[in-house]
Amino acid sequence: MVVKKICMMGAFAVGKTSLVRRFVHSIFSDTYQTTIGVMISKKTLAVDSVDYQLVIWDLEGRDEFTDVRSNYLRGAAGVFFVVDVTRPHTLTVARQLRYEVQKHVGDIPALILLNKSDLADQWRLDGDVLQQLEAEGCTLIRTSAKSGDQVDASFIALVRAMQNASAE
Amino acid sequence: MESKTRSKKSASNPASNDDVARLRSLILGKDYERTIRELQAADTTQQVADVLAEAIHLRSQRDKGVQHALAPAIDDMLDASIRRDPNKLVQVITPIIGPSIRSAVRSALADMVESLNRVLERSISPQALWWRVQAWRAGMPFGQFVLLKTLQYRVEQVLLIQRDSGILLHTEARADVDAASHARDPELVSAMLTAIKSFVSDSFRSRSDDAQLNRVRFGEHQLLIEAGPQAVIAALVLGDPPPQLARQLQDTLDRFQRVFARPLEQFSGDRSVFEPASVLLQECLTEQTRGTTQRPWLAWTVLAVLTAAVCVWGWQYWRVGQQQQVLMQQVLASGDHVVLDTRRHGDTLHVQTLTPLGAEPLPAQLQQDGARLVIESRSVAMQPEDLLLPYLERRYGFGSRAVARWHNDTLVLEGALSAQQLQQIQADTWLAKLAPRIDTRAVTLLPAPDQRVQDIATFQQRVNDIQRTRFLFEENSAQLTDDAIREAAAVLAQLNQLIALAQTLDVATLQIVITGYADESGTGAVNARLSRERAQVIRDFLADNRIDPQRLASVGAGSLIAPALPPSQRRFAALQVIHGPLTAATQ
Repeated sequence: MVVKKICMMGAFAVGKTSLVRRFVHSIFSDTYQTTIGVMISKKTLAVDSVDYQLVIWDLEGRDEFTDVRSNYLRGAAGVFFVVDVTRPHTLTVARQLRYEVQKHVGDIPALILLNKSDLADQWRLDGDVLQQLEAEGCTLIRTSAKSGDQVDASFIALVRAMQNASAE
Repeated sequence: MESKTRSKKSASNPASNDDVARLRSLILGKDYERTIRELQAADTTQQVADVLAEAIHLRSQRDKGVQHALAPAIDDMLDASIRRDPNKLVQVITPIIGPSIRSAVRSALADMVESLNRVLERSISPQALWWRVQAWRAGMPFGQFVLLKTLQYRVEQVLLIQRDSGILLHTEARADVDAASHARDPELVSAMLTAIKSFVSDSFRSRSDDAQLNRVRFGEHQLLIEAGPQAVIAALVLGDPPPQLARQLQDTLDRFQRVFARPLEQFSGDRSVFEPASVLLQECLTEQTRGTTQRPWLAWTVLAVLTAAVCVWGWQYWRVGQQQQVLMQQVLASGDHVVLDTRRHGDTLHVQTLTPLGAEPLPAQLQQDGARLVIESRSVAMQPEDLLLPYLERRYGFGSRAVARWHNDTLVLEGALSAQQLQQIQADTWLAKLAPRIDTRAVTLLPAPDQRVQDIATFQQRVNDIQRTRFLFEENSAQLTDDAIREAAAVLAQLNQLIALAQTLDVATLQIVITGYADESGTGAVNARLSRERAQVIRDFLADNRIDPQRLASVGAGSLIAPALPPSQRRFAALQVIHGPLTAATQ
């Protein structure tokens, strides 16, 4: 059993906690409850015949006016930056957070989750910005905590990224 | 070079080789080949012996092939050795495990005594009683209350956490503590604790760089936290830990970081490398009780008080019993009353007596020196025809020679009676009350026989009478029927007479065997028990009425298989008289 700490980061109400609840408990609720500080969950999964226990730190939502609590990031093996596809501003926040994480804990495996992808008709993200991110080496995954689409796959992808980082 | 040349030459010429071999055989004879083989074998053995140890050593360093190859052989050797001489194994291991066994036994005994003392202290001391009241008022189980009162502190669980990530590296918990007291999910606790520590550190950084969260109190528990450069140790403690505990935790953490410096540095999520740390953590699972001074005197005092109380009570019981027997003697002194049953309830002895009509009535109660007799007298309604006359015949031993009948308020005796019998009848004050007028005109006096012969005849008659008697019982009970109760009085008189005669006749032994029976309605076990109880009832009755218990023996015969008899006739007890030989001539 390999234990890994991963962090969920993003702007307010992008669906970080919903993604964790969908991944850990396979449930979803429309009711929005803001996370204060941090909420910690754990989930065991097997990737490539290796058992992993993921300790998931779901950090409270951030914006440009709040500082990142760098202590929460220490020891993290991977990080998710969650974006709400219906709010372009959340992508900006994710990019800022990505910069903050690199500054505090270095270049750790990270994925950008484009959440709420079930709301395709309300898509507001700028395609150019996304292309630029991909060009910078970011992995983007369209997820939906509501439908569960790509949620488990995202965590598996992050674990694989962590495996690759360890191998290097 | 020259030899090489020669061997090349010989190899190139097989015919020459054959010639050489033939020549060698001719010169050295038949034993040559055998000698060569022996020399080669000895040489090979010597070579193997020279390199064996080094070869095993080298191979063991490379892999476990040698161990695997030798393991079955060693197993077989050990097995054969133990089978051949088990004592050898005992002799070998006794010095090794003997001290451990003795130590374990000593420890177990000490624990048992300690446990007993603790139980006594917590059960019967005034403090324990007061604690029971307090626990009851607090609505708390007594055990938990005692724990809180007596326990200064107890470390229930220790967690080792990676400082940065909050990942749990290892945890140890006391096995003797309820699992509900442990952290429900140590991994989440570790992570959350780290988050809280980070929050506190961030929040108060401006005031002090050393700001650390190192103690969390919740209810009766505290969480002690000591942080090191790479790891954090957290201890879940019940009660109030002393300052030394924090130092012990810090020492343990330092040792852990020192011993596991490299695994901590290279930690990539596999925490199995930290399992050996359990030894370190278990050392932290300490506890200390308040006022642990041994007070065995308490247990001894309690035992002494209990012993004294039992002695006093026993002596009092015995003394009252003696007084009750004195009162019983007074009851029996009149001779007219038959004791049916006695039951003791504390200081009171309930006595059931059978009192013939006309006899002096007994008082309802007798009391003396704390002992009390409650007497329940049952007067026998002796109807002359039904009861009195058969009783008289047995009382005076009429046998078949004489009869008694009632005629116009006059007891008429007819037939042959001895002078002694007639005198006994006329002198009997009890009979005089029942039958003021006795007509003996029809009585003819028997010639006076030899007294001993007469006594023997009477003895045998009494034996027959006694053995014919059946004491009937109520169904499924050891309660005598009313008829049997009346019968019992007559049998008692006969037995007394028999015993007196046995003494007169100098009969060597006289034993009464009482056999109880049951009908076939119950199970075998029930019938066996019931038959025993019925025999015992008769035995107690006789013993209560001054028949020497040494003469009495009671047995239960179980159910009586006698289909011809009605069930009521199969629930009985019968007497058998066993006596020594009777001889007409005086010994």
